[in-house]
Parts: sequence; C-alpha cells; structure tokens
Amino acid sequence: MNRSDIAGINDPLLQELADALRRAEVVPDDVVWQARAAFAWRELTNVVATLEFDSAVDESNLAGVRGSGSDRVLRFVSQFATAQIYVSDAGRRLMGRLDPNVFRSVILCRPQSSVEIDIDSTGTFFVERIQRGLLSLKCLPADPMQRTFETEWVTI
Amino acid sequence: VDNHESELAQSVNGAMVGDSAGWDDLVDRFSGLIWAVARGQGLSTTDAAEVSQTTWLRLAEHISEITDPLRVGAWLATTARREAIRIARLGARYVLVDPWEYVDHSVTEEDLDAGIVHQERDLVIRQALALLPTRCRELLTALVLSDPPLSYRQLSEDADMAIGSIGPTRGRCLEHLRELIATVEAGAVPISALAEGRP
Repeated sequence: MNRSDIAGINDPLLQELADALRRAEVVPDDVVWQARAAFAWRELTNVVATLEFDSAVDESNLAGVRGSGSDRVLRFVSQFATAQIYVSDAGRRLMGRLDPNVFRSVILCRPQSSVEIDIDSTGTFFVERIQRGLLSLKCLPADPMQRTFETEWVTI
Repeated sequence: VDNHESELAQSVNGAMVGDSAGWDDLVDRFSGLIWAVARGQGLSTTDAAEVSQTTWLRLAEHISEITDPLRVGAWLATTARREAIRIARLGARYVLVDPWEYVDHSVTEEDLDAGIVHQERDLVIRQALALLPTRCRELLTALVLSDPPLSYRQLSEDADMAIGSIGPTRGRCLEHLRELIATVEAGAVPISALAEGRP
C-alpha cells in the first residue's frame, strides 16, 4: 500500500505541504527553549522605545557604506525620550546619549544577565569590551516619579 | 468565527494577559516558521538562533499591539526577516574590518534575494499551516511526514478521531489550508476573521 492509497496525498496541495515540510529543518531544542523563555521578559508597564534607525541596515543601500568602517549608529525613540547609541571597533565599544538628560543610570539587559552603568552629567554613558549579542537598555530616571525608558531588543 | 481563529485568538489574547500556555502554543506554531525564515536568509545556525530569540523577545514587547491574531504569523515572519538581514549585514561589515571576528555569514544581497524567492512558497505554506487549528495541523503533518505512511486506523488512534471522519476531516483541513495560503499570499485577512480580534 502506498501513501496515496491511504492518505489522499495525490492532492497537489498535500504533496506541496509534504515537500515543504521535508525541506524544513528541525528547530534545535535550545532555540525552542529560548523562545519559551522570552515570555518572561514581557512587561505590561513600560513603554518600549522602538529602533527607529540602524545604520547597519538603513544605510546599507548607500554605495560604499557597507564595510567602509565599523561604526554603527542606532536610534531608539519613544514618546518621551530618545537614545542615540554608537557602537565602534567592530562592536567592542558602546557610547550612548539620552535626551532629555533626566536619567541617572542604565541597565544593560542581556537575555541571561544584566549590569547597571552610571550615566554622567551630560546624559552620556560608555561601555568598553562589550560582547556581541542581544541587548536591551533600561534607563532609570533620576526622579523616581518619572518614567523608565526601555528599548527594544537588538543585536549589537 | 470558526475554530481556528478562536483557537489562535485565545493564545494571542492569553499571552497578552500573562498566560504562558497561550505563549507556548504560539511557540509551537511559529518557531519552525521563524527558523526557516532565518536559515532561508543564509544565516548560520548560531545566527539563526539569535534571530529567533530577538523575534520572540520583540513579540513579548509588542504583543499587546497585535490587534488581529491572524496577523501574528506575518508579524513574526516580517520581524525575523528584518533581523536576519540586519545580522547578515553586520556579519558582512565586521568581516571586512576585523578578520578575527570572521563568521561564516558573509552573504551578499544577491544571495539574500535569491534565497527569498526560492523559499517564498515554502514559507507561505508554513505560515498558513501554523495558522490552522491544532487538530488540523497535527493531522496534515502526520499524513505527510510519517514514514512509513500511517494507516487510517493508526491515524484515528493517534488523533482520537473516528476512522470514518478522517477522510472528510482531511478534506476540510486541506480546504482550510488552501484558504489560509490565499490569505497569507494576499497579505490580507478576511473581514470575518476580524470579528474576534481586539479593536
């Protein structure tokens, strides 16, 4: 007995589905696990600032930009504040500037860890020897009555 | 509103209010699609894993903005594709400035375009499959993937379904899949599907 006898696989759509699924790779277990774990990052209270500009993508259609240097500029924007991030030296050094200048520190969130860094009097912060990978910034206001500024996740 | 829309809507709406079972159902449905999108862009498994993680973290941040549950698959696929292109370009950029950072994803834009065209149909089918109700998804997957092919008796036991209803159910599921493929291809969702969506 072949498949078409019992399963009606002679339907072209079923055959197409079979081909698509056979070409598909099995998703690794740790990838599925990370997908489930992402739910823990869901927060109902904070407004998340969206990545409005990333020079790695938004300038890549300009001739000569790709590969012309390792500096990268990212801009996150929310209704209340803007963060401009500069990544240089092939992603090893990061500088951030916040506007308005009302934040005292920033938490660098990675999926597995986080570290808090002071913001200086000009609204700027620096991180040396930063690792490649996923990052989200949570900026804490000097005045606790003000809003926390949190960015989308992005790969740096 | 028929079952598949309400089933998916329940998961999306559940995840919005903190129900992890709803979230897990979304992961079951769409993790394969996201993986296929990332790998289809020529990324290594390491980079594809990063794209997958970013995509799910983004959904966690933005799920309350998903107004129509049927669109969640398209939202995830679009986000994954955008992130895959970002990572591919970062790789291409870093390779040129620092050979020590070399990783095997220095793809060109031509590669990306060719990959997109080649994979497009598979991704449409995968996305439509992910939107089907669980019962249909499992039945169709079992029909096409089990090796050796399952008999109707085995299928009926596995799916807890009367033997006589497998044929008609398969027909309905395939019809449903066909409609969803058309929906995904059109990039539109039928008005009737919006009934249960959030405003």
